[in-house]
This record gives sequence, structure tokens and C-alpha cells, in this order.
Amino acid sequence: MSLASNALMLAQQLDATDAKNANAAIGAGFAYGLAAIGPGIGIGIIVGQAIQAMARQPESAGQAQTTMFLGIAFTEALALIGFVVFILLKFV
Amino acid sequence: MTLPITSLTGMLALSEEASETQETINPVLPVGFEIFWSAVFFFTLLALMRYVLLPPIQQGREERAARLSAGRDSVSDSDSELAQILAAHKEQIAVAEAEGAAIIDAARAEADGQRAQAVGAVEEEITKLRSNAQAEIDVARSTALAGAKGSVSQLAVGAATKVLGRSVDLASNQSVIDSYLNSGS
Amino acid sequence: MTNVLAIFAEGEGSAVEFPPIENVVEWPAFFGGDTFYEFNKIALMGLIAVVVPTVLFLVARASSSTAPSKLRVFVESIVKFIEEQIAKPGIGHGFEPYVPLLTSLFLFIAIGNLFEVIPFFQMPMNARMANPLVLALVVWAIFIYVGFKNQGFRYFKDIVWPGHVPPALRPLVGFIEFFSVFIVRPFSHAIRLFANMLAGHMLLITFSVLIIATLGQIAASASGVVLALGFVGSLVGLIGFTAFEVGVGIIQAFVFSILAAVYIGSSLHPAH
Repeated sequence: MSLASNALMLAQQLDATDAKNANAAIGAGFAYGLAAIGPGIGIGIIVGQAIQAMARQPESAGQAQTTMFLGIAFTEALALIGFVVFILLKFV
Repeated sequence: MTLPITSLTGMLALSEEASETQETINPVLPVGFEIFWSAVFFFTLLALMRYVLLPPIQQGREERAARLSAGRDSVSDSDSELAQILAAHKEQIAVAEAEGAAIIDAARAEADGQRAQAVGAVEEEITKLRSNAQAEIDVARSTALAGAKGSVSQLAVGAATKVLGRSVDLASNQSVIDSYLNSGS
Repeated sequence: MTNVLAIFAEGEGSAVEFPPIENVVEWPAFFGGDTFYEFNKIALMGLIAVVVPTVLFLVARASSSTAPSKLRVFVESIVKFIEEQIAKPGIGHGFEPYVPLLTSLFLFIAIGNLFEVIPFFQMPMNARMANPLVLALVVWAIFIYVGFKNQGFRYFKDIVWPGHVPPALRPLVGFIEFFSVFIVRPFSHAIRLFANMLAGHMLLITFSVLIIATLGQIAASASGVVLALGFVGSLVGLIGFTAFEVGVGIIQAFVFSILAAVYIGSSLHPAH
């Protein structure tokens, strides 16, 4: 939090657009960084379990792979929404 | 943490500047003309795929699969056909062999018959010749025997006359001589 | 570390600077600027993404089906892949009518994404929101239509008033389900593709910018181990991520298509 307050202090000395940009840059960094944590763990779990499933039943590896991609897609969406927020904060 | 008032006022000033900052584009929001072209191209591709592009590919694949299975059927058909032809051939061969055997048998039988006939004829002739010869021998023997008998009888009668000192009548002792000769022969 | 900081500090400000976003996602119009039919590079990619499958399929079709050419085998293997890896697992039985839709989706997206690594284009078609949004809305309209056609009003009722949850929770679950199926679904569907491609695009731009910056420093007769490492690292990263993005583009096309298939399948077959 001290980083943000420092940035705000810094922003004090800058004009309004700079302040907006500084806040937006910090927010963007936090948005994407935080949004990447959960999906990162989630995708790790999904892929790990899928590999376990494939190792236990190699004959159903195809099905496990398809389901794995689906699960990754659903989980990844959260990180991607974080990325979109990052873009919105950084560039708009 | 105290929020610096100037930065807040700066943020307020942002809303005034909003009209200016609108010039930078929003990279997330879609743009009208891009939506238009996307829709045009995607629906074009969808229609083409649905009515023009995909059906022949799928159809061709199915036809080929059908032809493959048909080919497999016809192969098994021709297999059975082959077996039939083979069986027919074997049958024909068997018939021909049987015929051949029959012909050979017939020929052999005929040859046997002819040989038997020829042998029979030859044997018949031989018997005939033999009987002829026998007859000639018999005739000769009986002739010779008759000749010999006459001379032997005279010789015996002469000898007996000499031995007995009296004349022995040939005619009366003929039967004794004959029986002697016959027993000797 | 001080070396890098020195570069950043003294590099005349422009040493390492990400280009303005409109420079990397917006393209000048070829014709019809500022009208609804403005035609730029993105639209050209869309046109190519229609022409390439059309030509491929037509040429493949010209080859006899008895002795298929290599191209025909390739095209048939794409169709087979879509039938067996996307349509069948996603929709289940009765998937045949949706194969053209899924084939179009897969090829349109995959070819559009591959422009990310094709020289002179260097921009994925789907890194603009318009294209994924149109595709997601098409899928959205289709799965709602299929749901009502196959299950009638029961389709809607099962979503807003789900019978398999306790009655007390039904309004809440129904609201969440309604929200997630009819509103969140198309947007998450579109954003998943869009954000993936935009992220990949910006990743490649970042490495390119780093290469240009380090090269500029080297040309300005700066030297140092960190600078050299930065240059080599960026080069390796750019090459590696270019290959990675080819895979991402195809996997995203696969994911988009199979999600479309799953959505249609959930409308086609009532939940158990």
C-alpha cells in the first residue's frame, strides 16, 4: 500500500494527466498481477490432475486431454479478464 | 494515509479532460466497420462451408468408405466364385478321369477279349492240328499194328509149328495171338 | 543492474518505450475510411481467411475421391478432426448438422490467428474485439435457438428455475445461471479468444521493442554484459514466443470451437 501512497505523493507534484496515468499504471499492474495468481494455481491443478488421469488410464488420454483444454479455457478466462482490465487501465 | 487533495482535484479535472482523451482509441471495444466486415466474411464462409465446400468432401469420403467395403464384399464374392470355379473344375476333372478310366477299361476289356479270342482261335487250331495229328498217328499206328500183327501171327504160328512139331492153324489160334499182342501193347 | 538502469535513464527517453496502443492494434484504411465499410488490414485478413479455406476445399474436391491427393487427405483429416475431436465430444449424438458451423469457426479463427506470425501482417485478426464478438454472438444466438427448438420453453425454465436444487435456493441459483448462460457466456467466450491473441501480440511487440532498444544501444557504442544478455535474451524470447504463438493460435481456435460445441450440446440435450 505504501507504494500506492508514495505514487500518490509523487502524483501530487505532477499535473492531473500524469496523476491519472500513474494511478492507472499502478492499478493496471495490480490488476493483472492479482488476476494471474488464481488462474495460475488453477491451471496447474487442472493439468496435474489431467496428467494423473492420463497416466492411470492411457486409453482415455484423448478424452482427458479435451476435458483438460476445456478446464484450462474456463479457468484462464479469469486471468484474461484481468488482462483486459490491465489494457483498459493502461491504455484508455 | 492522507489522500493528497491536489491529486483528487486532478482526478476531477480528468472528467473535464475526458473529451480530449477520447481521441486515444479503446483497444477493447469493437469498432463498427470491423464488426461489419467480420460478420460479412464469417457468414460468407459459413454459407460456403454449409452448401458448397463441406458436402462434397464428406460425400467423397463416405463414397470411398462405401466403395472400400463394397470392394471387400466383392473380394469375398470373387473368393466364393473362385471356389465354385475350382469345384467345377475339379468335378470336370473327376468326370474326365472317370471317362478316361472307363475308356481304358473298355479298351482293356476289348483287348482282353480280342486276345482271348485270338488265343482261343489259336488253341482251337492247335487242338485241331493236334487231333488231326493224333488221328494220323492212330491211323499209322493201327496200320502198322495191323501189319505187325499179321507178321507176328505168322511168325508165332511158324514158331509154334516148329516147337510143337505139328502144323498149327493160324486161323484157329488167331484170337490167342491177338489177345497176347493187345495185352503187350 | 546499474548498467540497465543507466540505459533506461540516459537512453534519450525513447530507449525502451512501448509504442502507443493505437499503433499496434489500429490500421489505416485501404479504402472507405470513416465509413461503415472501412476496409483495413483486419478486414483483408478476414477476406483471406475466407478465401484460403474455399480454395483449399475446392482444389481438394477436384481431386478424385478414389485416389485422393495429399491435399484432399489433408482437408479430410481437418474435417475428421473437427468431427471427432470437437463435434462429437462437445455435442454428443446428433452433432452432424453443426459440423459446417464448427468447421467454419475453427478455420476462420485459426487462419486469423496465424496472421500473428506471418510477415507483413504480424497481427492476429482476433486481437480486435469485433471478430471474436461476432463469432461469439453467432454461437450465442445458435445455442439459444437450438435450446428452444429442442426443449421448448422447458429450456428456459430449467435455467431460471432449476429443478435439481433445493427450492429455497432456486431463485438465487436460477438468477446466477440465467446471468451466466445468457449474458456472461458470449462475453467470456469472446474475451477468451480476444485477450489471448492480444496478449500474445503484445508479448511479441515487447520482445521486438526490447531487441530494437538493445540494438540501438549497441549501435550507439554502448557495451556491457547485461546489454548483450538483454539482446540475446530478447532475440531468443522473440523466436521462442513466435513458435509458441503458432500453437496458441491453433489451440485457441480449438478451444473456441469446442466451447461452441459444448454450449450447443448443453442446449441440445437436457441436463440430467
